[in-house]
Amino acid sequence: MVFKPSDYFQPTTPEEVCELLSKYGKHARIVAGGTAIYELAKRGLADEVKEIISLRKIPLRYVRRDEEGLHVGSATTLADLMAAEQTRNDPSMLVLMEALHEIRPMQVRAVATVGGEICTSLPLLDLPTALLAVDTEVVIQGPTGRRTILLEEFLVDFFLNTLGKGEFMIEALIPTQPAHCGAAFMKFGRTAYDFNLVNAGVRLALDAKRVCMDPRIFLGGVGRVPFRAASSENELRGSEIDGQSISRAVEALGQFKALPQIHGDAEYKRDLAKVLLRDCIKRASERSLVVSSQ
Amino acid sequence: MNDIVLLRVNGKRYDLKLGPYALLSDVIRDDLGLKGTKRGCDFGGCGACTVLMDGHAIYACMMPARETEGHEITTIEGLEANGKLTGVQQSFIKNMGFQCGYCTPGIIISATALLRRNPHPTDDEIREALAGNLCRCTGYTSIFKSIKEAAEFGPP
Repeated sequence: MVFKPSDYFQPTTPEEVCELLSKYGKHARIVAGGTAIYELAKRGLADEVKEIISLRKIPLRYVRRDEEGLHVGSATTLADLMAAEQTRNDPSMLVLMEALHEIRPMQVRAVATVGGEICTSLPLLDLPTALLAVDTEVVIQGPTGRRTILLEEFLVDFFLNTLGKGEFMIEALIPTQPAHCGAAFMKFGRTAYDFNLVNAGVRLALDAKRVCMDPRIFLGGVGRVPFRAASSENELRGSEIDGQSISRAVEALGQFKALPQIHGDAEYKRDLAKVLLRDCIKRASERSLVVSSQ
Repeated sequence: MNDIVLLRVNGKRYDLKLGPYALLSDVIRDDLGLKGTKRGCDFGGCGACTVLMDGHAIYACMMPARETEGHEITTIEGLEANGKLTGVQQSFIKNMGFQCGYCTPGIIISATALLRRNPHPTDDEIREALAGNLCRCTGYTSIFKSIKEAAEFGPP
């Protein structure tokens, strides 16, 4: 066994978690499904981790809906979220379902958690890109209370987010989406099983004249955090969605910076991103029209 | 730090003294002596260690054993009832869904998880369920066929 932390805590309240995190600082790690930490440990990237803090005994495994939106507890597994009744019959949630279906295999979906997908803060993951497209907020518990931050501001860099000392994630809050909203997620990976080379999450709302309001476009896998394609959003905002406006939005991506990987250099990723973005905008707009006509 | 951890595996209860990050695959093989669960890549890539936790297929190689307290674990040894193999197991034998056999316990567990939840999967759903299990010798045709025809041999 390569991973030998010295202690394993199973606290029962959020306050206890904060105390443990404050006490052990950078040597402590939260574990929920345990898939990310163990893979890092096997690669020799978790040597400083000495204290493991499990969330299993804290009731953070839930999906519930209220007037604010959809609350997803950080220890909710990906399989839980896929099966949650609260996401049914809501076309704006299709963006999440598409991302969850792309996370393979089922052995990982059964244990990996929504909090882990977010707090690992790795741009190769799929759920964050989808969550970003629907303006997800992250609710954080710290030693002095709770705070809420947009996921877009939460993610800072590879393996880096804005969690401070003693803080951990309580839940993701997906706000109720605008009326007539359509959203879609697409991914391109080398194999069905692999991390993404590029993924895309798009949300838009079309009015009766097919004019686009409030677009969100995020691309994962290209940068150190999922990249918000603001120039593409600007091309769509206030425009009628048709072949021409979609082409303008795709071209607006321009020569954006893309991190090369062994399976795809920057130019290849830029090409992929354009194709994914075109298809993803198209799919989201079709969904929006279906919703508008209901 | 070694604690007593209470596990339930194949319907039996075990009280084990385990270190902080004792992995379920190590405990199953080395402490319980159930060697049907295999070690392959040992970090969530090959599926040889797949077991059931409350009916869901999981990788035992990356699951801390103590996180399974309060859950029911089923290994390949726990599928048969009174010496009778399940429909999935019989189908693998009849269809020769294995060659060296190393990946077979994990694949049978994955197939069982699928078929218990979804007794009539589509071809794509079968392939999807196999995404987390690698086989290096038969290729997947006979494995796929074994799962596709499992229902003919009895419940999963």
